[in-house]
Amino acid sequence: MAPKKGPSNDRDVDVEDRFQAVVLTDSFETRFMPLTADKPRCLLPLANTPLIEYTLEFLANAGVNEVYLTCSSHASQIDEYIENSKWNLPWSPFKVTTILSPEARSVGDVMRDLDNRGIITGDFIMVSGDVVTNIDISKMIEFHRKMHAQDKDHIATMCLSEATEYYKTRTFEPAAFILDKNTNRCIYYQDLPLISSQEKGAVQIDPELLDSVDEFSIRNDLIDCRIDICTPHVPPIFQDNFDYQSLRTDFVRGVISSDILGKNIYAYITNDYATRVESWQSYDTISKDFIGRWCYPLVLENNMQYDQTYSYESRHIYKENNVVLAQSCKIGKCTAIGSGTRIGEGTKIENSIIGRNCRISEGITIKDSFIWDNSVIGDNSTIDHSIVATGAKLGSNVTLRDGCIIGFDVVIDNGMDIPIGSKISSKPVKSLGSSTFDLEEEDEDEEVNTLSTELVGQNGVGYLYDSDASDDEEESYGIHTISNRLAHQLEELYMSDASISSITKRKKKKRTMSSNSMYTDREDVDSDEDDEEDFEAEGIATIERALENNHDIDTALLELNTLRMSMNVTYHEVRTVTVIALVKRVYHFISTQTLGPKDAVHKVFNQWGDLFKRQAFEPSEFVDLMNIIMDAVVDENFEKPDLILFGAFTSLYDNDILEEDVIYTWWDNVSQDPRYDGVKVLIAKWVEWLRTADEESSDEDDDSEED
Amino acid sequence: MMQLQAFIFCGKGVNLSPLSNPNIDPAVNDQELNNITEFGPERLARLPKALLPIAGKPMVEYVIDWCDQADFSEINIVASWDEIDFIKAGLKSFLQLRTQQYDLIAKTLLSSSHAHQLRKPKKINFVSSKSAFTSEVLQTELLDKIHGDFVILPCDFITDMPPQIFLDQYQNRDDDNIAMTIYYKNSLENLVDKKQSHKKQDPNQVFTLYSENNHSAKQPVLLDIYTTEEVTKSKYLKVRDHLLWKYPNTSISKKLINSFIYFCSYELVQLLKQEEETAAGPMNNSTTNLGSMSDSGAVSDASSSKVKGGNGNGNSLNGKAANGGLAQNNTSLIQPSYLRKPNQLIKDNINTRNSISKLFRDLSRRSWQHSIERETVSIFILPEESMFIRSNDLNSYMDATRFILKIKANSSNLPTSSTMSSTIGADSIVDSTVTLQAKNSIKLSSINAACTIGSKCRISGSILLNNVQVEDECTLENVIIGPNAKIGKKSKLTSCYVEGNYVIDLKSTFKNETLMRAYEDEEFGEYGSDAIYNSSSDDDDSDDDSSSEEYYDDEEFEDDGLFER
Repeated sequence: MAPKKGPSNDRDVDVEDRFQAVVLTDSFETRFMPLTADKPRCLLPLANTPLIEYTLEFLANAGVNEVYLTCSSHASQIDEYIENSKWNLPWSPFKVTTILSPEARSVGDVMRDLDNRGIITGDFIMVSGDVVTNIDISKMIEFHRKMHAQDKDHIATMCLSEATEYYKTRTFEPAAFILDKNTNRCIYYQDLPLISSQEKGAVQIDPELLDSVDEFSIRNDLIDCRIDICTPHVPPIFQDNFDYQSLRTDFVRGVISSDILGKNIYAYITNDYATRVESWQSYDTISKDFIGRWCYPLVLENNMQYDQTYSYESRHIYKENNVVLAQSCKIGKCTAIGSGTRIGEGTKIENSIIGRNCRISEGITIKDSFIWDNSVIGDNSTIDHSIVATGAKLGSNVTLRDGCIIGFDVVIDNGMDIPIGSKISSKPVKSLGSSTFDLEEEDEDEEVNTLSTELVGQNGVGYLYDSDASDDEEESYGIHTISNRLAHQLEELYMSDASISSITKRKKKKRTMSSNSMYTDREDVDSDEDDEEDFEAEGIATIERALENNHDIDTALLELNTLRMSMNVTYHEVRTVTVIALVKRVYHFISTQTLGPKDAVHKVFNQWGDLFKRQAFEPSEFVDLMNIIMDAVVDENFEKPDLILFGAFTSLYDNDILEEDVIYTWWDNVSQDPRYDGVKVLIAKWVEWLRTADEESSDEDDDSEED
Repeated sequence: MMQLQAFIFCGKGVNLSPLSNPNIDPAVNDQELNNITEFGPERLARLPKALLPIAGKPMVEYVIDWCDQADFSEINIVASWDEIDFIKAGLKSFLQLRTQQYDLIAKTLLSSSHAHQLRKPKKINFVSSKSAFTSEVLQTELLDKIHGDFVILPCDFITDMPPQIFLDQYQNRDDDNIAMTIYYKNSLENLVDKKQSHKKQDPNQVFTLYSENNHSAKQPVLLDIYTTEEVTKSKYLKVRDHLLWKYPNTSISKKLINSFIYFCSYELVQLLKQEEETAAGPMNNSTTNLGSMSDSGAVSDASSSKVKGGNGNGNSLNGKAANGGLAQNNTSLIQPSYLRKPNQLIKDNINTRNSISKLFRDLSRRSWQHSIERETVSIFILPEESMFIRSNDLNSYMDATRFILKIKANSSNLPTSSTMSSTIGADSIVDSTVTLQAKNSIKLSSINAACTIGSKCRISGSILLNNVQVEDECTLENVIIGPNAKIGKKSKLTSCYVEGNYVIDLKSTFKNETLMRAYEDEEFGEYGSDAIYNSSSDDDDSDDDSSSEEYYDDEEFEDDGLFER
């Protein structure tokens, strides 16, 4: 790295001319669990180099002056890493600053934090901390400027890399970009279910968005590498729309479909190598691409870190200095070996990446695998297509089958056979919701799994990490967990004719008899209480009728009241059925895409919230109501339950159904059950906001009284 | 040389009302239909669409001329039973001229060394159809007549693209292309002041989904078609995930217009053959085989022997295994046939109670809906430099006329001629039988046979069909006047359409109006119910229209399970 400008010089650069970059080190996903419980994703090694290095290298080539790393989970580790890295040296091409926002729960939060700090002064690059790319950013900047000159409403340029139909990483996070054929303006964006998913839908484009375009293309062959050039208008947009969470589904979609904003986002399409390490599969693919020199000039023997000493040999073999190879060991093609590693007699290694200071004994077969630093592997073990993380110890005669992930410092006893796709960590890790994972929180949970001795053996240390453990999430995140395995998977387009029709049939049935299905659902829960259950079915049907036919509230209430008296149930039950019906209605709106989540909640709760006025009278009953709503929202498995709950509560609050005091009482006594953690995120902020607003106003009152 | 059968579908021309559709006139139904043979189409108040003249020449004649360039094996004119006789009568003189021309050329060429290039004009068959939908016409009435690859043409197109280009494109199709559709972009947009320009949204707008297949060697394929109506009904333009996985780079255009030209392979015939027919046994097949053999004559014999010699029996056996007894047919028709892989035809339930354009839409959908690959429908988009226009509504009818008039103006160096002190622009065509009084000015207009025009008339950008009487001092601007109409003295018409036999009073002024006789209102419904081409809406389906008109029935489209409501 040529010593261009010291950090001190940077301050002299005109504020307007500074080229800034924001690196989102946290993707707020749990794809790399259990390893990310110990280390942030961006510090996981890819080809023996921490992921963040690839991003920073890319930014250095892009001629960036200032880099801001936003960190939330494991922020201190990242901070420490950067402090000791070459990027913090006086001759680093840019100034690195870490922004710690441990509170952040989504990319949206990070952006809002960024806006609050007022760091951004001009156009900036926003990249995620896991990008591996060799794109020529100058072309993209040129495109960005050109589009900016043509269209003053242009606020961001996304970099999308064209993949062939059969390239693997395309299928990890499928999304359809609808682009104007002439200008590459992004008209619409929609996530797609995975190729193997049985859930088949359609990309639905509002024709209004298409008014101004004659020809456009729907691209499902683009890899979204999350390199965006943004104008300074972007962070304030997150501020204004504080329900924006993710960068694509919320922000991009929100901006381009909003008439009010009237802003445009363009796509820059490149053929260069650009992709993100976002799941075990892409980790695998990208490592191999990297070793196979697909992202030249970004190759291993560039020795990105100052102490690396890789040299390249034919057949894509990379070796550092001080590698000790036994005479009879065989190093096959596409292999990298870090310094200080010793490889014993008769060991065969192929298509694998071995870290530093590993002790690989005799007669071992390692194929398609990733062995990180300082691991020890005993004699005659077989490792197939697995990851062995830093410091792990495998005894002799261990077999790792396809797709195993052995976490940091796990110890596996001699002779164990680890089945396909096992993920083992040395500390018990509970899989949390998608939004976040924090070590502190886990400790609180105190839900200690027992050592998986059947897996790691008597002398082993390790806990099985089961990402599918929490059933609640499985349905909504099911599509992701399927793909989130290292194991080879033949993900074929799932489209047998018979199954398609059967699925649709099922769905149709569900829709037409929603009250019945409700009935059956409930049956499992409380099959004994026949009366109550009948009331539930009847009551829900009543309210659903009212919603469907737009009855007035009084009629609905009258019907409900009659029902309540004839079946002799309490108001609690009445509230429950009302809430369930309303939430179902919201779900219906969202699932049919008639309304966005926010609008749907507001519409339903603003219109029908008054029902509760005659169903709850005491503050305690209102608290009960809030709990019921929270339950119902959680049960309905929304994509964004927190948003729904938040919308419901604000609607009720705005319509004076919920009093502040009730909300505070409820919040103070709210259940700490982790299954509610997901939905409470926004509520926490809201309550806080309410309180401060309250205080302020009361302060003002006090002031005025004093006057 | 592959020879295709051509089928010219003559539609009703619903969007050309009040000019088209003679049967709407009760007078025609009552008297003339009975003794149609004596009835000259000149006297009709409305003409069958195919006979509407573009610059003095019935539009279908342009199509026949185009076909004559192409060397199709035969030309079939398909029209509904109640119009076919009009069309036959209307084309009588043209067909006579056609043979006369041939005779003349034959005579001169006979002595020269180019005699072998002489091509006898192909036989023109008139096919009368009784079905209500064009697909049905194809399936129930035409399939038996088809012996090989064939092409479906509309009766209303004019193009400067020679058929050879289409044929080459068709011959270069991929193995899995069962048919080739042709789309064009409206090239005449700036030729005439468009009425549509100030319309907010063109209701006929269609979303055409196709894949250019950029990353593969395959030809572009048509994937789906949605009308604006369908989109507004479902509130969204829905593109299935299935489609996106199969064709990840799908283009959608709002500009493309269906030409209603379909080049189809014989496989389509096999696909559409109704079950009972195939079940009816080898008798049927063998007869068609025989027919085709005799039809393509010596050429096919030569080719099939070549195939056998070059490739041995193995291949022909394969072909037979895959395609049944009909494989032989293919070998006789496609050259070099051993390079082609026959498709495994899977008979899905294909709805044929529909227009042909929908049939092809369904065929194109079929290519991505199923887990087992089906045949695809390729799409050929005409280059923007080319000219292609279909006169399927009044606007484009006007455009087409003006296009021909402009060609005439450019090609003939004749200056603006003045006869009897009338000025006739070089860009106008006035039939020789027209009676013109003094001091008229005629610009960019087509005036057909037996019209009488008074003095001091100004006619610009207009079409006057047969036997129109224009009295003195009229101003006609951008109007189309049907046959036998009468326009009173000192009338002023701007952008109007006048039905045949209509009489306009003295000193009338009309602007942007469609003038029709009163029967229209009462009779239309009745006509709809008793005619075979059922309601007026289904008429659309009758032929001419395709993309540019409405699509109905979503029901059929939702039914396939994949598309839930």
